Amino acid sequence: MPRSATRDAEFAAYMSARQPALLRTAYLLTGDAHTAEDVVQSALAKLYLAWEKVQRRESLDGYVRRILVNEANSLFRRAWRRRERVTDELPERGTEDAYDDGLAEEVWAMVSSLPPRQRAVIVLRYYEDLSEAEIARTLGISEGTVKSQASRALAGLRSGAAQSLRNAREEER
Amino acid sequence: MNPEDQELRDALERRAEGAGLTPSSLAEVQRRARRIRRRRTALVATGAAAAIAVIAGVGVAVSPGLDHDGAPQPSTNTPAPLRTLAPSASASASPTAPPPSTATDPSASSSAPSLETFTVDLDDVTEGMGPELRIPYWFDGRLVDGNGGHAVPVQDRPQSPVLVNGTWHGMTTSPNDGTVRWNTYAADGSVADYQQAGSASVAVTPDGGTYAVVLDDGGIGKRLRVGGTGGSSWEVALGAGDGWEVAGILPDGNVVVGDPQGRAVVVHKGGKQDVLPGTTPQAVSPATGDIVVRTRDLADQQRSCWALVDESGKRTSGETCDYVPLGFSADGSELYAMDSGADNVSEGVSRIHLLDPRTLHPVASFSAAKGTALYVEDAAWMGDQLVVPVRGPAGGTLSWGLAFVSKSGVTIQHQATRPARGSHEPPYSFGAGPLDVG
Repeated sequence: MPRSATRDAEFAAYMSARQPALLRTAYLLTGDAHTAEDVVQSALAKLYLAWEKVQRRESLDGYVRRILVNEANSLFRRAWRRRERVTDELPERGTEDAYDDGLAEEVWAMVSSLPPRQRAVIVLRYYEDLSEAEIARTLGISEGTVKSQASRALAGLRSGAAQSLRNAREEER
Repeated sequence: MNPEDQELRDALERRAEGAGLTPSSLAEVQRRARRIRRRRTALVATGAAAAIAVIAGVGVAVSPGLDHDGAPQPSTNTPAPLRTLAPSASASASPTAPPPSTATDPSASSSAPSLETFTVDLDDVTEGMGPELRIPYWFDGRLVDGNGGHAVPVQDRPQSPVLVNGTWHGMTTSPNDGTVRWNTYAADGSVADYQQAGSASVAVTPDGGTYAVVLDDGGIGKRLRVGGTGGSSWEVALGAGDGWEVAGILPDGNVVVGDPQGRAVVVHKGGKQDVLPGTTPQAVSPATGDIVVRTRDLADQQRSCWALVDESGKRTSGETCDYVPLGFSADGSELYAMDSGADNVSEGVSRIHLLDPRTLHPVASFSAAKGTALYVEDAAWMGDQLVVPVRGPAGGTLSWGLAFVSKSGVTIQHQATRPARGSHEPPYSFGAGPLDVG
């Protein structure tokens, strides 16, 4: 089998196994399905180009996660992103969940409102289940910065949750 | 884990699980990778091993070209031509764009020609009769020649469609193993035959339909095939390694390729190879024999510089570090280019330019309107007009359209084709020729 075919077979196997999870992470990072698909496709394309340079296959997840986060963050920096997403599609509906009491939706809304880096820290910590050291490597920041960003993000979420609770109680009265 | 953490985790998981996300196929990822690689090669030129590209489309790299052999076939298979609209060059032209910087080469002429600047805006669609696409194209699942004939249904977007003796050829990427194939299509659009290609680049001449492609013989290596309607087909071995790319065909029939080391090489019919000064050949003028090569890199500025050389390696133009020249018009009198250092080329650029090939100064510049991107990698010459896929808001909706640009202005042919979700691949693929349009 030609080397390129072997490489493509390996890459295809990795892509098949990991793409669904990458898409979900990208969605949490960007908050938009269309953008998440675009970001993951771009990240996989960059991984494809670098495939033969990534010698340690066990480090692939970290490698592609770094690309993914960088791609997502670069979107926030690109002003044209907002213009590019001009569409006549109806806004995406929230997730239907028969067991959702509305709390998940509220938590998500608060996570969505976090600044990009804080949001990335929260997603990597609570969804990807990464350690502070792994998050630091992924985001290219120190562990101390990860801690401080997480602390600020959680404080923001608690503050938002407290406000929501107060609002709910007022509505009940 | 405290309840707060668990709530956060649950909320994220619920949200992510219900997002309804669509994965990309291997072929889509590979197409995107090729676009990224072309951009890197064109803009950063990271080293000798960089592959040459920017020319995946026939019209991008080379001259307009194939004659139509055989009468158009008006049949039920013939699709309606792309909507034709008035050629009022000034319809969407407005002198609002900032002028580009000038070429930096001190040897270039100091008396730059007057510069016209225009804005490309999909909302400026022109109504009425006007130019048709008089070059081979693929759109809406059909290949059609420049006369609206030879229509063949082909579902997968072929790169570089070429019509030779009434038979369509084109490059596609296999969804199974990701390899690039040079296909021969049957009249019903099925793939009658294919050969493994060494790269997606194709060159076509305007003088009767000669094309050049790199084929892959697996372990044996790559070979250059030159064929077409002229009856002078030939093949020569190129060598091993990935990265052989066709840049164009010279007036004497020799072919310019980029080799795996990034060098510009003239391949003669007998197999002789002459290495030119400069690297990364981008385009060849079939009329004048001028070849665009990279002369040097400005590493600190992430830019490269470009100039023209002839087949003997003699410099025939000034040098530019401000623009990346991409393709000559059929008569060699114009050269289109993008800004050096432009980013995200695979997702469109904000400006394109028409350069004077002698000075490499712009004679006309086109700036995209707000929210609009020009897909310069997929552009093609049609006579003295450059056909450029454009993506941007039209009537408030994100759409694909076509801009016909020339020194005298720009005309928008708006198709209102909605972009596929997450896709930056234009819904059009252009071939080349014929030369005698209009």
